[in-house]
Amino acid sequence: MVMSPGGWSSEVVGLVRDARAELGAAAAIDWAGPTAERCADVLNRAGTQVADLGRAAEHTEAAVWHHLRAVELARAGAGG
Amino acid sequence: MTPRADDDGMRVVGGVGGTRVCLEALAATAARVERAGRHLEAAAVRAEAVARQVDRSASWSPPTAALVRDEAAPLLSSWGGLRDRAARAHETAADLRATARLYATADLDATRALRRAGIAVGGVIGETGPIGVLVATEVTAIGLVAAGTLLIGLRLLRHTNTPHGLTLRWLGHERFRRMDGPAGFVARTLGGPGLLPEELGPPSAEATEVVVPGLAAMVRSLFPGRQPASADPVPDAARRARVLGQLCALLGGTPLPGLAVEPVVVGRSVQGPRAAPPVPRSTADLLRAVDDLYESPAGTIGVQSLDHADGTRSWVVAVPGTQHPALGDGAVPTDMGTNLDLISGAPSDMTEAVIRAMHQAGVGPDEVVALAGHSQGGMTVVQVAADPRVVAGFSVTTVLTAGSPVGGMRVPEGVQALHLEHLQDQVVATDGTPNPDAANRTTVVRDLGASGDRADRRAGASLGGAHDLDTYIRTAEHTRDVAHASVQRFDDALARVLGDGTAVVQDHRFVASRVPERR
Repeated sequence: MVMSPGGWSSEVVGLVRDARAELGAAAAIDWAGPTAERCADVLNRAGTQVADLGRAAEHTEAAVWHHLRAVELARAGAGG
Repeated sequence: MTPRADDDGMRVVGGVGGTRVCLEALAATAARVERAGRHLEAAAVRAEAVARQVDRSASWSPPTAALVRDEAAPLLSSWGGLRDRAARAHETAADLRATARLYATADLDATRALRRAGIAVGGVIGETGPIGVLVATEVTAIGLVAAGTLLIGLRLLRHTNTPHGLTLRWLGHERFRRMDGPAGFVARTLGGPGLLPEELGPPSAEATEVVVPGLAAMVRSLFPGRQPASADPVPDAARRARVLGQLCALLGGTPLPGLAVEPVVVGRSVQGPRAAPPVPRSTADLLRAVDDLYESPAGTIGVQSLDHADGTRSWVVAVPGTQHPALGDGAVPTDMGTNLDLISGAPSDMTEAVIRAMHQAGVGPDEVVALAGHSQGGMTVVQVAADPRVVAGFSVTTVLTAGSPVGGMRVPEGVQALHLEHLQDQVVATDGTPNPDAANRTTVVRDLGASGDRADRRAGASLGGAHDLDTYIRTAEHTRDVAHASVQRFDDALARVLGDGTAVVQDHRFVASRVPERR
């Protein structure tokens, strides 16, 4: 199967969203160990950083679709 | 993992804040972080493919291709990009797993090794027969006398104006006595007033717990023929001792194979906190209910019904400890024979008696029940909670034990158990097994020697005092101040049985006794 850049960029958004969800769930696991608080801090910070990547992925996805449309139009113009 | 301690010599082991739950939580957290890392890796592969495709088509639309490169730059960055975050997630997961391994092995390795060594040595001594046991006993006694003599000699020597005396005075200085570790131990052994160290009292139950399996292995090996090695020789040794006791009772012509459970007191209705007996509100009150039973005939079981304002009814069942020294089947079922049954995992007469008492009192299948017991009573209530008839027919939610060797006994998953133990109480060590670290089992170990209460310190200096129920009631009072998730979880479960302290309480009492004919 051949995937277009648009398809790939959509997958990137979905995968980063899944990673963010896993990190959020990991930070929410409730336990009373001596390092639990610090562990949750680290995971929450990682989650925030991944959320930033998620926004970058969404912007990239929009830019890719915009580029694909422009390429399509340019090719159509050259062909016509 | 080292359990946390508070100021009054308390340590909390197990329960929702215990090592096992932490290990499970760490494993679950690591698995999720690992999955996050894999998602980020897959996202990086796709983002790189997007970038390559866009580069190939850039000549058709250079401005939009440049925009894609700008937007994708954070994703493809080697610092903070998708691959970097994926690598960090994998590192974090590895760290979490390493922490879990550290927790799992921190406390147990040395104790397990000592336990195994004790079992091996005990087995070898036992196989050599009674003479070997006598020799080993003699060697141990000589060693203890020699150590005591050396200790007294050193403590006398420190009063002399010699270089040795000066060194010993320095080693036992108060500054060192306050230290932890070997230096503190040496200083406390050599320093302080008197001929013997101030802290010389009963050995720690934790030390006894390591020695008991070795002694049990020796007892097993004394029996005729070569005994197969056992990782847990205590239940088998208890079983054999019980059979011997029953044999003696049979030879003495006093076997009592039946069990009778009869109600002795019904009635004593009270309302509210001012009436007596008080409505139970805490773990200490449950132990007071057990304490009351020691005033009644031996074998008395207490069953209290609590009628709450919302129309629901709950129950508190109290069981006393050992009340008779018989190893065979005497009339009093709260005897040493029952202890051996419980330690060996065999069904005990007191377990049967408590179940019958619950039926006779009218405990309903959906009415929540708290079980409490001291010493043998604690073992009994744990066996009651795990009995299939009780699991199927009653709703036991909490079990409280005080000074009970229950490390080798099972508590059903849905039951929250709190085990109170004193570091100086040797009885809790007689099963030779530490209490398991499980989400539903919390053990509070209190060092009476570290208590701020003089009565506790005095109790801790004697074998009887450390096992006394009054001392355990004071310990139960102190558990209220322990801010620990595991203790809190038990208190929450108990509160669902006891209610808000306004219940109408009715006392029922039953006496269990062994009788000649089976019933």
